[in-house]
This record gives sequence, structure tokens and C-alpha cells, in this order.
Amino acid sequence: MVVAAIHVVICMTLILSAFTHMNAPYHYLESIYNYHLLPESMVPAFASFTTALHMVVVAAVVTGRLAKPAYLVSTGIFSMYLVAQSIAMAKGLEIGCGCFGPASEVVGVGSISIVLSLVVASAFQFFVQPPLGSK
Amino acid sequence: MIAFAMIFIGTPDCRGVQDQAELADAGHALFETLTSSSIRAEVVDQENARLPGMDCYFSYSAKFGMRFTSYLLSHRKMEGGVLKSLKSADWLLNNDGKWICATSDSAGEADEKLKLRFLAGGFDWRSRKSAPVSRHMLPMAGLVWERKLVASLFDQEFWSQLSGHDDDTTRLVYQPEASPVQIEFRFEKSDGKFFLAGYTVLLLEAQKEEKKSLDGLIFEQVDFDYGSDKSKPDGYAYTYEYRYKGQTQHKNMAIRLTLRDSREPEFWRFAKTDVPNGTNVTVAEDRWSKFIYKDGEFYKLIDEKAIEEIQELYYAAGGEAQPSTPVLSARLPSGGEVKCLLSPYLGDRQSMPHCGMYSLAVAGAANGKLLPLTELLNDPSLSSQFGSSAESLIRFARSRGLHADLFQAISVDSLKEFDCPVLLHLEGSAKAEGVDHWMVYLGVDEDGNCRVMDVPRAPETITFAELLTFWDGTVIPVSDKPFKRPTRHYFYFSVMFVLTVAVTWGLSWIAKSSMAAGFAVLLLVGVLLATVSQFVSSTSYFRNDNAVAISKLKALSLSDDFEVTLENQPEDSSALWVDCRYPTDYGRSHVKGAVNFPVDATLLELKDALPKVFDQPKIICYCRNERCGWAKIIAAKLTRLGIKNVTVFEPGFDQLRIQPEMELATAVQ
Repeated sequence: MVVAAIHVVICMTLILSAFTHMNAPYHYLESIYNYHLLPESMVPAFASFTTALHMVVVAAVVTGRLAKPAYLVSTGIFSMYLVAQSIAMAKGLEIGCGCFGPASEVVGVGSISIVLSLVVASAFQFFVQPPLGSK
Repeated sequence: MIAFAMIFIGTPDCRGVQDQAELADAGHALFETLTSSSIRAEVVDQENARLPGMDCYFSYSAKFGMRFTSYLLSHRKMEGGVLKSLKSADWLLNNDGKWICATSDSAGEADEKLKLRFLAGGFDWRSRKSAPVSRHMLPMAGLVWERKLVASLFDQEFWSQLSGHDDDTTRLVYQPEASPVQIEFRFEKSDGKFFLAGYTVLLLEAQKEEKKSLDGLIFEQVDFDYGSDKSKPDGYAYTYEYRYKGQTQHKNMAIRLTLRDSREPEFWRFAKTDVPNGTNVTVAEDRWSKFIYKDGEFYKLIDEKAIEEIQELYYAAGGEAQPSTPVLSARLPSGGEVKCLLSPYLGDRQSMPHCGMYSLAVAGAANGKLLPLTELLNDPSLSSQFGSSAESLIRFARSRGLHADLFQAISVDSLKEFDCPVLLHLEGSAKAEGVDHWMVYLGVDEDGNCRVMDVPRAPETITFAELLTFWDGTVIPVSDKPFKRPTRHYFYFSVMFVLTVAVTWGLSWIAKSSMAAGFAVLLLVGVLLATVSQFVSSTSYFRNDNAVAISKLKALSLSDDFEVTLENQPEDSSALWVDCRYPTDYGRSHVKGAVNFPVDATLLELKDALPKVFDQPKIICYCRNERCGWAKIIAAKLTRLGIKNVTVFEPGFDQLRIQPEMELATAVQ
């Protein structure tokens, strides 16, 4: 039951994020620029790739075939966001987290806590999922 | 006002209910005095109350024949029966619910804690905040005079002058103390009582001067600056700069005018001129005033028509737009051209809080429904200094029989579904932090681009990708017929998701039981999906360099130290000049061929400027002078965008415009 609920929460988070990024791609692009962590030339490719990856993770979980690697990917994605937001907060940047389009909240303890929860939840799912080919 | 104060000083302590009643009686007696005189006034309301933080107050309101209502308020603080402070009165003009503060007076010890915020729907004249019309649209000079004017209306001695007049029409002249400003009131008699028919504000010196003119002299305004006059408490300094144009013998003659409003004798004196002494010339005219030069001094003449405009602005009541109102055309998504009247009081850019109002007016006009601007201005929720809320715009549109609704988080595909004008909600400019913006979407042009109108700019075309850099997905379609809820953004996303699921499911067989292979498959599908989505989308990052540059520019932070190359004598004639001043200053005069790149550029300004600065061999940024840092900021930003060879001409436009070899482009007034 708990595992199923976490499934839903992670998938809803990723799909909502992908949906808002696809609707407002330049806000997402700007929010990545705002972090000042990547070389500027890489930012457009990174933005389009991460948006797609959100959908791919959800698709993999929905099909049930690649759930375990999907949660590994989502753990990696959320960990990356966690590190980026922590650095931004340490630098004192007052920027939107870029999580859900233009309405995203500003990077702070709240947004970092949510991402941290998602990292833990994804990692948990990764460990509880059966190995590939076991079904 | 003096009489008013006298009544209060003569009253006993007001700590009890009985004392309040006495106070009310005293106030009423004052009103009796007013209404029994030859003034046509009627008491429409009176109230006595004890409010938090105030010992007591009372208010009366009366109509003075014209179209405003005046409220009298007073506060006094008593200790042991001794008057410690008296504040009377704040005169507020109310026209159809719109409040404006006029003046105030005080006696005794100042009580700075007193804030009459409960008045005027949030208007606090002391901090000059929340003035819905005047703060943004009326020059401070007008505000000062308006206060003096209204104060004079309540001067008993002034009104008593009317009693000796028998004519149906009469004029009284009032001169506020220690001021060269003269106010002439016009009264007309009706039913045996006078009512105020209008007024004119004039400068005494301007009235005295002889009418001589030096034909052929035309001056153009090249600069304007406004700020506080630090030499005077509560003073304001205006600097107008004019340049003589057209006559060879006076080429490059400059006039620098500094106006001070510090309620001191040097009020409206001008600091420096190169105009030959003894000449008398009309230097320039703006909408409300005329500058006159005589015997080494400049004067500003405010004419009656100007005051009427100010008055109209203040009260925002009645009448349609002025004959000089600019007419902008807008095109319906389905074709056809409509025209929209715009207020002559419109400012120049989106920093104004009335973008929602004007956008709604344009959308209404595009639907064949003229929404009078005066009505829009009169709606406090539409014309507040914080702009118009979506709710207030929808309410107003519906009240005029239009269909309007709010949709959020929609995509450009869904935006294209609307067959009617749509109000778009955008982020404000970089400088107007926290203040958002509205503009109008007017459909798609033949090239598939987005037609928008950002009042007061004319309708223009931008790419949807450029729109996405500022638009937050919030829209209000406005139509004279019902419209459907947009759904394309859900549909396209669903299609994309189903395809992703299918591809992932199909490729998952490759992974078999290998975790690494499964991981690789997911990354591969991610790359595929990203590539396909960028390939099919018209708003792709890789086909919209300008939109990517705008996003990058918006994210640039110059909080760290940045270095720019300065130069004092530009010699490269092939360089592109970038004017970093406000568009109004740029519009008056700029280096010929220069690109305007204001420091607080809006979406449409960025859209225009950015393509011009790429691929240039050299760029020279300039601002007004060395005290202006905007050129350095823009130069640093352009450098961070990857543009090479960007320098700053530090002496700025002040220096450029007096260089004989420099060719300027100007807008002649």
C-alpha cells in the first residue's frame, strides 16, 4: 500500500513537472540558467533532455518493465536537483526552483525538503523493486 | 481652514460622549456657516466616531456644485483639557468612489503616529503611496498646485469675497502664500448661489511678461530628468534640456533648465541658458505647459486647457477621449482592422499600472465594443497602482456583456485555439520587480507568428518562443460570443506520453535482466524523446536563438564585480551604438543608427534589440553621462551573452550630442 502510494506521488510529481516544462519551456530554461551551474551552451540540451527524462521515468514505471532502473534514474534526477538547490541556497540566490513552471516556489528550506523527500522516496522504491527479469 | 481650527481650539476636552457631541455641534456650526453663505453647498453626510489611535474625529462631506465631494476631517489630542495637537483637515475629493488627497494642516505638537489610512481607500498622502491616478500619471507640480487649489476652496475669507458679486459669472483670483502661482476661479450663479465652474493656474511672472517672440527659433527637448532636490527638504528638482535646432548661427546651443519645487522663492527658476539675453521666446510646449524665456529667466506657463486636462485626469469623470487622443489599430484574429482610442494620459511603457485596463480596452475594441477609458479608470480595482487583477478584468468585461474567463498553465498550442483577443499575463520588466504585466494577443499571422499589442506600442509580431520567455501561461480570452475551454495542451501532452510509453515498452525487451542495459534504454528513450520534441516543436530551443538569448539575459546576474572596457573618444565609425537610456529619452534624440537597449527592457524591446547586437564587429554602449551606470550594465550583459568587442562610451549622450561631427536622430516637438 505504502509502496503504491509512493509510486503515485513520484509519478505525479514527475508528470506534472514534465507537463509544466513542456508548456513553458523558456521558463524552465531560464530557471536552469539562474542556477549558474552548467556551461551556458549546455543548458538548452540539458533542459530538453531532463524534461523528456521525467516522462520516460513515468512511462517505465507505468509499463512495469523497467521500474527498477527508472527509480534509479529518478533518484539521480532528484539528487541533482537537491544538490543544485542546496548550492543556490548556500550562495544566497533568490531564484525560483523551476520545479513546476512559472508558478514554482523560490529555492529555500521548503523546496529543498520536498526534493529531499523525493530522493528518499525514489531510493526506497529502487530498493524495494524486484530485480529485472525476476517476474 | 483657520476658522475650522478656531472652532476646535475653543471646544472643551473630547474624552466623553458628551464632549464628542459638543465637537459635532461645533463642526455642524462650521458647516452651517459654509452652507448659509453664497456658496452652493449641501451637506450630504456627517459622522462622529472614536477610532483606534485617535482621540476623536468627525467628518462632514459636502457637494460644492461641481462634480466632487469634499470631506473634512480632524483629529486632536487633548491632555488634561489642553490641546496638544491638532490636525485638520485632510481634504479629499471623491468622484464616483475615487479618492484624492488634497492638503492638510496641523497645530500643536506633531503626532507622527497618526496615519489617516482608513480614509481614501488606502491613500496615505504622507507617504504618497496608493494614489491610484496621481502618483503615476500626474507630474508632481500639478499635484502641488492641486493641493493649493483645494486648500483655497476652504478658506473662509476667500469665499466671503463672493458675497459682494451680483453678476451671473465672476472670477476670483487666489494666490497661495509665498508662491508665484496664481489660481483663478470661475464661478457661475445658479438659483441665487455661486458654484465653481472651473479654474486656471498661472505663474505670476508669466502673466506679467510682454508678448514678444523671436520667430524661427525652434527648440527640441533632448533630455529630462527628475529627482529629489537634496538641498531642500521635501523639494523636487526637474531638469529639462533643450537644444536649439535649425539655425546655423545657433547650432548646438544648449539650454539647461533646472526647476525646483521647494515652495521657496526660486520656485520654477531655470539655472542656465545660452539664449541671448533680452530675447523673449517660447522655448517649448508640452501637453500642459509652455516654457517662456524673458530677460535671462525662464517661466513656465500653465494654461487653462492644461488644467482642464489635469482636472480630467484627477477626477477621471465623464466625456470621451480628447481630440488629440492617439488612435491605435488592432487586428482581429479572424482578420479585419479595428481602431482603439487610447487616453492621452497614457505613459510610455509597461511600468505603468494600467496595462490591464488598456489591454482590456483594446480587446473590447477588437470585439467591436468600445470600453470608455474613463469608466475603466473609475474602477478602483482596475486602476490601482498595483495594476489590474485578473478577477477585476473579467468582472469588468462581463459587466459590459463580453465573455471572459481565466485559464492558467496553458501552452501556445492552446492559445492558438482562441478565435478572439486574449489578455496575456506576463512577467514585468527586470526593473519593475514584482509588478506583472498584461498585453493583448491578437491571433496568428500568415507566417505562424504571434500578433500582440503591448499598449501603447502598435500591434506587432513576435515568435511564440519569444512570447514564452515572459508569458506565464495565464490568459483571459475576451469575446462577444462564448468560447470553449482550451484543451490542446492536454491533448498534445497525452499523445507524447502515450508514444513514450509505447517506445519504452518496446525497447524494454532489450534490457532483459540487465540493470545497466535497462538504465541505458531509459537514457536512450530520453534522448530520442528530447530530440523529437525539439524537432517537431515550433518553440524549440534550437530554432529560436533570440528567445534563448532573452532567457539567458533574464537570468544574468551582475551581483558580482564585472569589468567593462571604457573609452572616452570613440573613433571606430563602423561600430554599432547602443543607447541604454529609457525609450522616451531615446525617442527624443539619439545617435543616428543607435539601437535602444534600455536597462529595464521589456519583452518587445528585447525582441527588437537583441538581433541587432549579434554579429557586430564592435558595439559602443552609452547612457546619459558618466553618472549613469546603465551602459556598463548593458555592456557587461552583452559580453556575458558572448558578444565580443563591447565597450562603453562613458561621457555618454551629453558629450555625444555636442560633438559637431556626431549625427543625431531626433523627434522634433
